Amino acid sequence: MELDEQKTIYTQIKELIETDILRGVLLEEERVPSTNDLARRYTINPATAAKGLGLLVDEGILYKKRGIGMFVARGAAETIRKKRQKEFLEVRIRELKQEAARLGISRQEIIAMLQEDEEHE
Amino acid sequence: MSKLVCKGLTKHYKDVEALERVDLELESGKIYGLIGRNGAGKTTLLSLLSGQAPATAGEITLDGAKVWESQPQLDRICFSRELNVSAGSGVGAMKIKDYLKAGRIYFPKWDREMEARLVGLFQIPLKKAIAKVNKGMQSMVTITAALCSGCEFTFLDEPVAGLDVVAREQFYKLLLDEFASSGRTFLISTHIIEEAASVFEEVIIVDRGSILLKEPTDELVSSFRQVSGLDAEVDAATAGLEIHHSQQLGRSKEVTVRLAPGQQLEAGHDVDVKSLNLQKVFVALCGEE
Amino acid sequence: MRLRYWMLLVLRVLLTALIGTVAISLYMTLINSDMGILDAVKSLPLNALSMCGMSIYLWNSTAIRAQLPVAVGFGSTRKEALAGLQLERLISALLLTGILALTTLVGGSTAEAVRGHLLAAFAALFALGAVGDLFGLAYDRFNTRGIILFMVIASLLVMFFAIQAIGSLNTLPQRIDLYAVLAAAVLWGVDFCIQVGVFRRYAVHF
Repeated sequence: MELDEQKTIYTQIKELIETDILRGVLLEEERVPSTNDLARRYTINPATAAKGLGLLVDEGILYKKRGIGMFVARGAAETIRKKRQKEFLEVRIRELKQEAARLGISRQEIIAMLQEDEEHE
Repeated sequence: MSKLVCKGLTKHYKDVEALERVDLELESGKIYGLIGRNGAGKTTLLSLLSGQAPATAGEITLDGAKVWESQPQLDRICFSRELNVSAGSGVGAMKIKDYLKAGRIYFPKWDREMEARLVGLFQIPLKKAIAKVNKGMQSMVTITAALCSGCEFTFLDEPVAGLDVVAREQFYKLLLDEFASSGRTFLISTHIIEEAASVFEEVIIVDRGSILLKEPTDELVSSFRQVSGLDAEVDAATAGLEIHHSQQLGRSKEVTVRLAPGQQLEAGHDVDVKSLNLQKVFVALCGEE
Repeated sequence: MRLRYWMLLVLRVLLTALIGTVAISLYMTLINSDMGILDAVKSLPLNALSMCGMSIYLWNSTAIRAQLPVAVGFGSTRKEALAGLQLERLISALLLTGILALTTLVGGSTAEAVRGHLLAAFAALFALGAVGDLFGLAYDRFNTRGIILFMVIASLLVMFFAIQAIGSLNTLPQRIDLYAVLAAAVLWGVDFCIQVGVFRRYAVHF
């Protein structure tokens, strides 16, 4: 139900890093930009950047090497992919179903639409 | 960690109650945003906190020691206010280089290297009198003084007044750079809210002489929702929640609500839900009479 | 280091004013007679000097006074800012006394006695005023009312001296110098009011 057009900055930072990991911009065991790097790059408060990075550490996507910085954990890309697949189901599919309900499109019609679309590719 | 604290701070001018029993605690190592409507009391608050004007009541302490007329405390606080050059005041006639020189003399930690760098970056005409340069350049002078002061607690009052968008962006970057390398506390009052929001770790809202709230920016902003749709649906979805703003046009209704921690909108209603940004939150909180 | 700042400010303003004063006085003397420069210097009219002198004094006070909000704005205590102002006034007074002493020495025999008395009057005028203001440095003991009271007493004493000086005049330049004294009194009054304003604004709740 919630459609956040404007996510909090720390969430956006988190997703930015995640996307970079998925895209191979950041590889496993590589150091991610520091809070100060991010603050400078995006003109945000370092504490906000730190919050975003902190969440990624909590989720096991990054790990901290004291005194050196934050690094991409082993298997991070896979973790992110699985997480986003789950989100895809929970958020986007649900939105699809809600909008379909609003428009009076049945589940069968949706499936038919998808199959038709696939045939045309 | 240092704390600049005021308790029961009150300021009455002849017939105006500018501040009424304000309690505030500022910690070192943070960037605070100070927002409020014109006349809310922002400048008065900054002026009192930095010991530049006497309070009618209440006390201001830095790490427990009184700030008023106490040089060791005053050395740690810098208030760079908007230069008021009207009425032919002394400041207006001063040459910019003399103004900066005064700063160099009075602030024990003045950074001469940064001064040279910023004068070059902003192309500040040192030989000109303050009143003879435009508002934007005056802002750059106050910004330079504030950043070079090296004070642990630095207040800036409307620092970007008169600056074009490129200069403003330069300012935010300089501010963050200085913050990153020094960990100084900055308290910045501004009317250009949304632009600066990402820079503030915490936001302090002043409304009619008192502090409405002081909260981390992210938490504050993410607790607000704008709910719109059919009026009956909107009412049902927002039942029992803290409503700050409500607009109705025919059967369409738009409501701004604040969610307490753990609270949620009632599910299962056909409504559009949007997040707000800091500017919109501020207008929702202080916009109506 | 900050005291040095105030003193440098004072010296700069004073030097400018001093040069200007002497130049104007010399010019005024030269255009009125056919004297050579050395003779002109010797006969520099006391009234012109005293007028200019008072102007220096006021100009200093105004210029330095303008520093007060800047100093306080940059985190100086009001005490220290006011102390800087008083230091300026003291230095101004001493320097002006020096100018007057100089003219007396150089002036030869022309109205020496008159000048001597007026010199005493002016010296007392400024020195007393400055000393009185310096008591403002003991802010812990004086409140605003106390300081103003002291300034009133100092000014009255000064007026007393000045009147004594006028009373002993019995030579030709008498009328001219009388105007000078009156002009000085007026300017002093103006400066007094301004100083009171400064104290009332800054000597708050020490």
